[in-house]
Amino acid sequence: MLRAFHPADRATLFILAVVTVTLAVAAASGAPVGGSLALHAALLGGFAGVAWRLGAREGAVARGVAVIAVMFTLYTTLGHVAFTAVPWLADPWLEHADRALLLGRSPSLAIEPLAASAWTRLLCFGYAMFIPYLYLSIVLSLVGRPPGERDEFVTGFAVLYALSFLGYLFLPARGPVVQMAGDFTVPINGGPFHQIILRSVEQVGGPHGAFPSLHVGASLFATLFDLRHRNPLRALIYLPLVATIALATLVLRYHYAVDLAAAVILACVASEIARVAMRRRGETALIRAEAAAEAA
Amino acid sequence: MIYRAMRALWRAALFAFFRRIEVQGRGNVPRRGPVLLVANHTNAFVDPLLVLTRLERPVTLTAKSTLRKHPLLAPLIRALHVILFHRSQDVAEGADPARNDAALEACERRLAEGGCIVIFPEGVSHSDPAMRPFRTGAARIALAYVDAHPQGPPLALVPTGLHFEAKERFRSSAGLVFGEAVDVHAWRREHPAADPRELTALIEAQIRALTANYEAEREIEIFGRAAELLRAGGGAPPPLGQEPAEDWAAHVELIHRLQAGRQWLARGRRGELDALEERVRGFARKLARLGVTPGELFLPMEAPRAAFFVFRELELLAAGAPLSAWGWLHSLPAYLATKAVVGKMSKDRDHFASNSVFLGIPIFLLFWMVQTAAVAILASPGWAMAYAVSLPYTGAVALLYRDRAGSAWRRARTFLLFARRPSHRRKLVDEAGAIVADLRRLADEFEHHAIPVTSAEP
Repeated sequence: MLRAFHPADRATLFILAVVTVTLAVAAASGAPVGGSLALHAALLGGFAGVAWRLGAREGAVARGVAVIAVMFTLYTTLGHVAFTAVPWLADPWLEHADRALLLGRSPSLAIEPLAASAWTRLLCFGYAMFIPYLYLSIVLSLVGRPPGERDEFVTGFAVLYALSFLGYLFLPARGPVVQMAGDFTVPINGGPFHQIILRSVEQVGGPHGAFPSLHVGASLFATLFDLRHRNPLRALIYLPLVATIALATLVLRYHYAVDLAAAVILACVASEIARVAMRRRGETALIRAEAAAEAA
Repeated sequence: MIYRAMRALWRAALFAFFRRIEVQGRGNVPRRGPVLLVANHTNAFVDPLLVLTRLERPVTLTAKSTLRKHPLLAPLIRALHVILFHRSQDVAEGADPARNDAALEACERRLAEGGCIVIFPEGVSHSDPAMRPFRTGAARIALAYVDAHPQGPPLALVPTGLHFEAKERFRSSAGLVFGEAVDVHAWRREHPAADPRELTALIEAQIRALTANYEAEREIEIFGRAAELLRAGGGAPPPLGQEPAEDWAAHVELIHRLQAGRQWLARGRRGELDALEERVRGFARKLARLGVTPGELFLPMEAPRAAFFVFRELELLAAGAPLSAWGWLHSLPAYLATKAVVGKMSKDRDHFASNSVFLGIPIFLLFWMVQTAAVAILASPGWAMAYAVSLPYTGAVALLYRDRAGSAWRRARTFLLFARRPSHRRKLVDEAGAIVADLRRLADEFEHHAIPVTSAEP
């Protein structure tokens, strides 16, 4: 039955199902997540309907739009409810892992002096450019690419977000900006772009979903995709932006260094999974066509 | 270590010179065991470098003995253990053909160690329209190894076709096609009394099948134009940046079939052939005057697609402009110096790319080092380090940006040209369609099946 679905749909259904089951268990344990459970169950049902309708059809733009809409919705709905649904907070563990990375010293504190420099304004600009870059990459991949490549982009995107949301759900964390608020002594000199970032973070209910960093994961995935699909110029042009976003997430204290490491690994893994999945689909289609030709 | 460093440098230099390098049949080169790669030779030093940089396994180069005296190449020849052959035509320059036995022994030893050697049986790089007669050196090496090691690991002799869109043009395309390997041990068992000339004939036939060879220079143009038209064949050109890999093997096959068809037509229908060739030439001249390629003739003219083209190209070119400008500005002195030196040293078409690749590396490194030192003096070592990192990176962006901006400009100009004169476009499309239809009809007559082109009917 699962084979009837497209790999991107399978990844999306998987994360929706995991979220719904987790919230159902939490609700049964008495956690106040009834509204969220209903919302995610509805999302699961709705998306299952869309996926069923689209079947295994190749290169459907509608699939891309549906998958990306679900993932962006989950980004805002999942982060906060995880703190209620799961009876633990991952911030202390992540901070501990972070310190282990730098032999006992916190990377967030080690990089703190940079927050006062004028460079932070540039980092804030780069961080703010994440959304335009991601949206442009999505539009260009959904509209301007052949069906096979479009499917691969959507599959990689779905796998990346699905794997990342497992982290959001089971390792809920708010990042150094909350966990280590008392340890920072240097104010962030971010300029006007920092104000924009602060406002947009407030609009989604404050910091959440620290592990892994989807800013780094998604931007790196888009760059890797361009690099692998005959667009090295675009990949090279945006590579400094990806590096800026990664540094900015540390300097602005939204992520631990381990979040970045996990994001880099997940972006590479999602990219590879999508490539392999599309190759297998191609091979299967070829075998079926040959079998049909033989039968005819 | 030296091999890997040089390989990386040459790879970078080839990336800078060629817009695209496509490789086909890489799976035909065994990953382990003795391999003798034999290739056509049309682009001097670039030929071995193309082979060496496209294969993961180490490749031993062979070269003419006189290169030992070249001040830039001599240390490399020693460091990379290049096997030198003494050609009879180089005797005046100090070559000693009697010493070739030692070179053959060195090849045999390298193969016995499971090495991979590349050799060019024509013996000389040239710009002739067809391959030159093969010398027997490659076959002698192969048979000497097989006779000395009859139970040794099988020797794979891999015919290799090297292709260049326009070898003397900066940012043109190149390709390598590795043909099916010949198991020399098996061949020897089947031909126990054969001498090297028979194996040479086999190698030559195989490489001829992988390359396009012409009777005369003027044939290159006519077959090239006809092949371009057939490939364009009425299908919309792929979006910029999404062009499929150049299928050199299919291109060569198409040229071979066109050549066979032409010979057939020339035998009994000379008038028809001349008229068709004149139509192809005349049409190519028309397109050249307009600055339009055959593929762009079938450019989609719908407004939404054009709007998306503008959106996509503007996004890329606007975002890349600062990095590209930085790259051009800081690599321009080295680029101009290389251009001047290469222009002065390249006396023929055959050495332009080689000189660019070989001289470009030290010239660019020298300029970049001087510039970095200047930054270190004027700013700080930290800034100098960042500047040094930025140079190759922005240089690569500048090159790719130049290609993309040029293609976008040409395509936009073609679109505007046809948008202003739609009837002119229709006439050209009809004319192209008529030529393609005639070519296909003749192909049908000749072979009773169509010339295999992948694109749609016009």
